[in-house]
Amino acid sequence: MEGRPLEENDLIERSSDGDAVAFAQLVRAHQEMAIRVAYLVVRDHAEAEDVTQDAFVKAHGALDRFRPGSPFRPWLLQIVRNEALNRVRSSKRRQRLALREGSDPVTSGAAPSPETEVVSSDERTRVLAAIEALPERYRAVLGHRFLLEMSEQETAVTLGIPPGTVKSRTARGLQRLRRELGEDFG
Amino acid sequence: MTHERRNLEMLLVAVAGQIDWPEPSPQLEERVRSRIEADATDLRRRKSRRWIAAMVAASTLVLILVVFPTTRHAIGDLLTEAGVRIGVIDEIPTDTPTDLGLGDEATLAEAIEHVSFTLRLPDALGPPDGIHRDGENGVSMYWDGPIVLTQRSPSRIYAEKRLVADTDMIEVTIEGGLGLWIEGAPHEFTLVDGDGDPIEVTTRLAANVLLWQTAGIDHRLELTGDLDDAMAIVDSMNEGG
Repeated sequence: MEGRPLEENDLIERSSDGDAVAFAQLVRAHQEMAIRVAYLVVRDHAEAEDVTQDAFVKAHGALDRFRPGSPFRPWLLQIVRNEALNRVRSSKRRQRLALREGSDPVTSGAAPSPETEVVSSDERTRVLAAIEALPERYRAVLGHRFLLEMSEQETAVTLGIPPGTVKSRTARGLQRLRRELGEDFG
Repeated sequence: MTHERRNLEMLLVAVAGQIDWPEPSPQLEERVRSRIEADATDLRRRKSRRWIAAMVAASTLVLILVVFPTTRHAIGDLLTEAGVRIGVIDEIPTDTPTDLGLGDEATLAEAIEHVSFTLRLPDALGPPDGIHRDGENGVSMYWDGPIVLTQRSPSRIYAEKRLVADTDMIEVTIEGGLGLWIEGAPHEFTLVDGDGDPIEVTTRLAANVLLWQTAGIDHRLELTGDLDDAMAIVDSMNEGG
């Protein structure tokens, strides 16, 4: 099996032993999700990159506290989110989530996916505004569950709350969102 | 209702696809790796600095002892001339030595031939129970008690004595010069070469020591008795045959 990528557990073990190359592979595998988790909190591209970088370094320093065999990604993402929260608390500023320019499938000429097919630019703007208006406890859970498409379990670990709380906040958050958006949105 | 809820969830996922998510820069991975490697280097340097600091601290103790107080200065000169350096350590190793590290056994005649100076014998102790060639130009004599008397011509070999903090050092006048009486807690005695590398480490766990120099020859008397016992032995020392 020469050339086969190392299993994540092997990479973690080697990283714990000081193998920076092994940890770089873990960074490569998780950096895309990590920067999104950071962005959900800091709402700034450059700062999300900085947060992600700092969080990876902190995660490396905390590898001796990682429980072998447990899922690595949510453990890592919890560190990312905490790092991002620390930045926001210190800067006391907050921006809104931004939509991509030219992201309207109608005007951009791109072939619409089954999901985007039924969502106009105006509707996306309204949905985002409604999410932003939610209390933080619901916004965080819905953001991780649906904007980042995490499982309940992974959301629970990343946010540091019990899975049951994720489930109940998801239900209540959707309920509030539905109420905010009106009958047009199921 | 289930159908409606599914629609809202799908709508959220669709919106997620249109959010202007940041992309990790191509440099992110390399920057993390560089910082980790730099941290590891810093850690090694900090450990190294701590080790050096510990060594410097030990050296400083030696210098303070030798340089600062006037009496210590005189003792320091004496000890330096006698090839002895003093350091303080936290504790003495607890393993009891089985070998006093006195060197090869010799007869009195062989010992006299071994050194370039006139060997002296203490009448108060009678004939030694053992005689040893101690280094290139030294002799140690041993009596049950135990008592050990070492006479050595100063050379590039230095004796480094490490003491625990509660060991008492008393300056004494002996044979018209300055001497040092060390008593109390056990101490460790190490022979080091001119570069400071240990040649021989001997831990003496139950002995007090009198150090002095006479006629350019280093003397070291080790015994379980007190200073009066030591001075009585010194007073009985005559030139050997």
